[in-house]
Amino acid sequence: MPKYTYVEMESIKGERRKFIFEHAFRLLKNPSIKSWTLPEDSKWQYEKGNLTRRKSDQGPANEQTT
Amino acid sequence: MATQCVCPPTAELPDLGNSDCDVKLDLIVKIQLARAAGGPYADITDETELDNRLGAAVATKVVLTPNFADTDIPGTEIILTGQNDNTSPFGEGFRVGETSTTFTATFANLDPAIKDQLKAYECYTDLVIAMYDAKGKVISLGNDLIPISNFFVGSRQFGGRTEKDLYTFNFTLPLEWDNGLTVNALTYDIFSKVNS
Repeated sequence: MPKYTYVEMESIKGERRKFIFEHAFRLLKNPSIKSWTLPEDSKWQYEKGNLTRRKSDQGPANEQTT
Repeated sequence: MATQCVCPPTAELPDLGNSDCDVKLDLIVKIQLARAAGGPYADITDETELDNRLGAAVATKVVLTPNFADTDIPGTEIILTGQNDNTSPFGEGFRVGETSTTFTATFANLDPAIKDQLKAYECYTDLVIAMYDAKGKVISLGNDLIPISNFFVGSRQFGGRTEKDLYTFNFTLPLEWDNGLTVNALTYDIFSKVNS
Protein backbone atom coordinates (compact mmCIF):
# COMPACT_ATOMS: atom_id res chain seq x y z
CA MET A 1 0.00 0.00 0.00
CA PRO A 2 1.63 3.27 -1.08
CA LYS A 3 2.30 5.84 1.58
CA TYR A 4 1.81 9.46 0.65
CA THR A 5 2.95 12.58 2.36
CA TYR A 6 0.26 15.21 2.61
CA VAL A 7 0.70 18.94 2.94
CA GLU A 8 -2.15 21.06 4.24
CA MET A 9 -2.72 24.26 2.31
CA GLU A 10 -5.11 27.14 2.66
CA SER A 11 -6.99 28.96 -0.09
CA ILE A 12 -7.71 32.66 -0.29
CA LYS A 13 -11.27 31.72 0.65
CA GLY A 14 -10.07 30.26 3.92
CA GLU A 15 -10.62 26.66 2.86
CA ARG A 16 -8.02 24.20 4.10
CA ARG A 17 -7.22 21.08 2.13
CA LYS A 18 -4.57 18.38 2.30
CA PHE A 19 -2.70 17.82 -0.93
CA ILE A 20 -0.30 15.08 -1.85
CA PHE A 21 3.24 16.46 -1.54
CA GLU A 22 3.83 16.64 -5.30
CA HIS A 23 0.57 18.51 -5.83
CA ALA A 24 1.37 20.98 -3.06
CA PHE A 25 4.86 21.48 -4.46
CA ARG A 26 3.48 22.17 -7.94
CA LEU A 27 1.08 24.73 -6.48
CA LEU A 28 3.84 26.48 -4.56
CA LYS A 29 6.43 26.56 -7.31
CA ASN A 30 4.00 28.06 -9.85
CA PRO A 31 4.45 31.84 -9.55
CA SER A 32 1.03 32.50 -11.05
CA ILE A 33 -0.80 30.52 -8.39
CA LYS A 34 -1.63 32.84 -5.55
CA SER A 35 -4.86 31.31 -4.33
CA TRP A 36 -3.27 28.41 -2.39
CA THR A 37 -0.58 29.00 0.17
CA LEU A 38 0.84 27.31 3.22
CA PRO A 39 -1.14 28.40 6.28
CA GLU A 40 0.66 30.43 8.91
CA ASP A 41 0.65 27.51 11.34
CA SER A 42 1.90 25.08 8.69
CA LYS A 43 4.37 22.38 9.59
CA TRP A 44 5.93 23.00 6.18
CA GLN A 45 7.93 25.81 4.65
CA TYR A 46 8.61 26.73 1.03
CA GLU A 47 11.94 28.48 0.61
CA LYS A 48 14.30 28.78 -2.34
CA GLY A 49 12.27 26.35 -4.39
CA ASN A 50 12.23 23.67 -1.71
CA LEU A 51 9.26 22.41 0.27
CA THR A 52 10.51 21.08 3.57
CA ARG A 53 9.24 20.39 7.04
CA ARG A 54 9.92 23.08 9.57
CA LYS A 55 12.67 22.12 11.95
CA SER A 56 10.18 22.09 14.80
CA ASP A 57 8.22 19.35 13.04
CA GLN A 58 10.46 16.59 11.76
CA GLY A 59 8.14 13.78 12.78
CA PRO A 60 5.99 11.60 10.55
CA ALA A 61 2.71 13.25 11.68
CA ASN A 62 1.70 14.28 8.16
CA GLU A 63 2.25 10.93 6.54
CA GLN A 64 -0.83 8.92 5.81
CA THR A 65 -1.56 5.68 4.04
CA THR A 66 -4.29 5.66 1.45
CA MET B 1 -26.87 16.68 -26.22
CA ALA B 2 -27.96 16.70 -29.82
CA THR B 3 -31.50 17.65 -30.69
CA GLN B 4 -33.82 14.65 -30.68
CA CYS B 5 -37.01 14.75 -32.69
CA VAL B 6 -40.00 12.90 -31.26
CA CYS B 7 -42.49 11.16 -33.51
CA PRO B 8 -45.18 12.20 -33.78
CA PRO B 9 -44.21 15.76 -32.86
CA THR B 10 -46.24 17.70 -30.32
CA ALA B 11 -49.34 19.40 -31.73
CA GLU B 12 -48.07 22.80 -30.73
CA LEU B 13 -44.62 24.16 -31.45
CA PRO B 14 -42.24 24.10 -28.50
CA ASP B 15 -41.84 27.44 -26.74
CA LEU B 16 -39.31 29.96 -27.97
CA GLY B 17 -38.07 32.35 -25.31
CA ASN B 18 -37.51 36.07 -25.56
CA SER B 19 -34.02 37.36 -24.92
CA ASP B 20 -32.99 40.90 -24.12
CA CYS B 21 -29.31 40.14 -24.46
CA ASP B 22 -27.17 39.55 -27.50
CA VAL B 23 -24.33 37.08 -27.04
CA LYS B 24 -21.23 37.78 -29.11
CA LEU B 25 -18.07 35.78 -28.57
CA ASP B 26 -14.94 37.90 -28.50
CA LEU B 27 -11.72 36.72 -30.10
CA ILE B 28 -10.80 33.32 -28.70
CA VAL B 29 -7.11 33.36 -27.82
CA LYS B 30 -6.42 30.56 -25.34
CA ILE B 31 -7.82 27.22 -24.26
CA GLN B 32 -7.64 25.15 -21.15
CA LEU B 33 -7.09 21.46 -21.89
CA ALA B 34 -8.09 18.71 -19.51
CA ARG B 35 -9.17 15.10 -19.45
CA ALA B 36 -12.86 14.30 -19.08
CA ALA B 37 -11.92 12.02 -16.21
CA GLY B 38 -11.11 15.13 -14.23
CA GLY B 39 -14.82 15.85 -13.97
CA PRO B 40 -16.67 19.15 -14.02
CA TYR B 41 -15.77 22.19 -11.99
CA ALA B 42 -17.80 23.11 -8.95
CA ASP B 43 -17.49 26.71 -10.14
CA ILE B 44 -15.62 27.37 -13.35
CA THR B 45 -15.02 30.99 -12.37
CA ASP B 46 -13.34 30.08 -9.08
CA GLU B 47 -9.62 30.88 -9.18
CA THR B 48 -8.81 28.48 -6.35
CA GLU B 49 -10.26 25.62 -8.32
CA LEU B 50 -8.35 26.47 -11.50
CA ASP B 51 -5.14 26.87 -9.52
CA ASN B 52 -5.78 23.56 -7.79
CA ARG B 53 -6.12 21.85 -11.17
CA LEU B 54 -3.10 23.63 -12.64
CA GLY B 55 -1.07 22.17 -9.82
CA ALA B 56 -2.63 18.72 -9.89
CA ALA B 57 -0.61 15.64 -10.77
CA VAL B 58 -3.63 13.40 -11.35
CA ALA B 59 -6.52 13.25 -13.84
CA THR B 60 -7.87 16.59 -12.67
CA LYS B 61 -4.75 18.31 -14.03
CA VAL B 62 -5.33 21.04 -16.60
CA VAL B 63 -2.99 22.95 -18.86
CA LEU B 64 -3.31 26.31 -20.55
CA THR B 65 -2.15 26.72 -24.12
CA PRO B 66 -0.01 29.64 -25.21
CA ASN B 67 -2.05 32.47 -26.69
CA PHE B 68 -3.10 31.94 -30.28
CA ALA B 69 -4.84 33.82 -33.09
CA ASP B 70 -6.79 33.30 -36.30
CA THR B 71 -9.43 31.29 -34.46
CA ASP B 72 -12.13 29.98 -36.71
CA ILE B 73 -15.16 27.93 -35.73
CA PRO B 74 -17.34 27.45 -38.78
CA GLY B 75 -21.04 26.92 -38.35
CA THR B 76 -22.45 23.60 -39.45
CA GLU B 77 -24.41 23.01 -42.61
CA ILE B 78 -27.15 20.57 -43.40
CA ILE B 79 -26.26 17.50 -45.45
CA LEU B 80 -28.93 16.65 -47.99
CA THR B 81 -29.11 13.81 -50.43
CA GLY B 82 -31.16 13.61 -53.55
CA GLN B 83 -31.53 17.36 -53.85
CA ASN B 84 -32.08 18.87 -57.29
CA ASP B 85 -32.46 15.55 -58.99
CA ASN B 86 -35.22 13.05 -59.41
CA THR B 87 -34.26 10.80 -56.49
CA SER B 88 -36.36 12.74 -53.99
CA PRO B 89 -39.93 14.03 -54.24
CA PHE B 90 -39.91 17.36 -56.04
CA GLY B 91 -36.11 17.30 -55.87
CA GLU B 92 -36.23 18.79 -52.39
CA GLY B 93 -33.79 16.25 -51.00
CA PHE B 94 -33.64 14.28 -47.77
CA ARG B 95 -31.89 15.57 -44.71
CA VAL B 96 -29.32 12.95 -43.77
CA GLY B 97 -27.08 14.82 -41.37
CA GLU B 98 -25.05 17.84 -40.50
CA THR B 99 -21.44 18.76 -41.12
CA SER B 100 -18.98 18.51 -38.26
CA THR B 101 -17.21 21.48 -36.73
CA THR B 102 -13.46 21.90 -36.82
CA PHE B 103 -11.93 24.50 -34.53
CA THR B 104 -8.81 25.97 -36.14
CA ALA B 105 -6.31 28.50 -34.85
CA THR B 106 -2.62 29.29 -35.14
CA PHE B 107 0.28 29.74 -32.77
CA ALA B 108 2.78 32.27 -34.03
CA ASN B 109 6.54 31.72 -33.66
CA LEU B 110 5.96 28.96 -31.14
CA ASP B 111 8.91 27.36 -29.39
CA PRO B 112 9.30 23.92 -31.05
CA ALA B 113 9.69 22.34 -27.61
CA ILE B 114 6.22 23.57 -26.65
CA LYS B 115 4.89 22.32 -29.97
CA ASP B 116 6.31 18.88 -29.19
CA GLN B 117 4.53 18.93 -25.83
CA LEU B 118 1.26 19.98 -27.46
CA LYS B 119 1.61 17.07 -29.90
CA ALA B 120 1.50 14.67 -26.97
CA TYR B 121 -2.13 15.60 -26.36
CA GLU B 122 -3.01 14.02 -29.72
CA CYS B 123 -2.76 10.67 -27.93
CA TYR B 124 -5.65 11.44 -25.59
CA THR B 125 -9.16 10.59 -26.71
CA ASP B 126 -11.04 12.15 -23.81
CA LEU B 127 -9.92 15.75 -23.99
CA VAL B 128 -12.20 18.54 -22.86
CA ILE B 129 -11.62 22.26 -23.12
CA ALA B 130 -12.69 25.68 -21.98
CA MET B 131 -11.95 28.65 -24.21
CA TYR B 132 -10.82 32.09 -23.15
CA ASP B 133 -11.57 35.21 -25.11
CA ALA B 134 -9.40 38.28 -25.47
CA LYS B 135 -11.20 39.94 -22.58
CA GLY B 136 -10.32 37.05 -20.29
CA LYS B 137 -13.80 35.58 -20.16
CA VAL B 138 -14.21 31.82 -19.97
CA ILE B 139 -16.38 30.04 -22.53
CA SER B 140 -17.67 26.66 -21.44
CA LEU B 141 -20.81 24.61 -20.91
CA GLY B 142 -21.53 26.01 -17.48
CA ASN B 143 -19.22 24.19 -15.08
CA ASP B 144 -18.61 21.46 -17.65
CA LEU B 145 -15.84 21.66 -20.18
CA ILE B 146 -16.48 21.12 -23.89
CA PRO B 147 -15.54 17.66 -25.20
CA ILE B 148 -13.31 17.59 -28.28
CA SER B 149 -11.72 14.98 -30.51
CA ASN B 150 -9.01 14.72 -33.15
CA PHE B 151 -6.70 17.22 -31.46
CA PHE B 152 -3.92 17.94 -33.94
CA VAL B 153 -1.00 20.31 -34.18
CA GLY B 154 0.44 20.74 -37.66
CA SER B 155 4.03 21.26 -38.65
CA ARG B 156 5.75 24.61 -38.72
CA GLN B 157 4.73 26.88 -41.57
CA PHE B 158 7.59 29.08 -42.68
CA GLY B 159 6.66 31.82 -45.08
CA GLY B 160 9.91 33.75 -45.26
CA ARG B 161 11.83 36.25 -43.18
CA THR B 162 9.04 38.79 -43.14
CA GLU B 163 6.29 36.34 -42.22
CA LYS B 164 5.44 34.82 -38.87
CA ASP B 165 6.17 31.13 -38.44
CA LEU B 166 2.84 29.52 -37.81
CA TYR B 167 1.70 26.29 -36.22
CA THR B 168 -1.89 25.59 -37.13
CA PHE B 169 -3.77 23.40 -34.68
CA ASN B 170 -7.26 22.09 -34.79
CA PHE B 171 -9.73 19.74 -33.22
CA THR B 172 -13.26 18.58 -33.79
CA LEU B 173 -16.11 19.91 -31.73
CA PRO B 174 -19.04 17.59 -31.10
CA LEU B 175 -22.40 17.93 -32.79
CA GLU B 176 -24.29 20.88 -31.32
CA TRP B 177 -21.22 21.69 -29.23
CA ASP B 178 -22.68 25.09 -28.38
CA ASN B 179 -25.80 23.79 -26.64
CA GLY B 180 -25.69 25.31 -23.18
CA LEU B 181 -22.70 27.50 -24.03
CA THR B 182 -21.87 30.05 -21.34
CA VAL B 183 -19.57 33.05 -21.26
CA ASN B 184 -18.47 34.09 -17.78
CA ALA B 185 -16.28 36.97 -16.65
CA LEU B 186 -13.46 36.05 -14.30
CA THR B 187 -12.31 37.98 -11.25
CA TYR B 188 -8.69 37.12 -11.97
CA ASP B 189 -6.40 37.55 -14.98
CA ILE B 190 -6.27 34.29 -16.88
CA PHE B 191 -3.40 35.63 -18.98
CA SER B 192 -1.19 35.86 -15.90
CA LYS B 193 -1.53 32.13 -15.28
CA VAL B 194 1.26 29.77 -16.24
CA ASN B 195 1.41 25.99 -16.22
CA SER B 196 3.01 24.17 -13.31
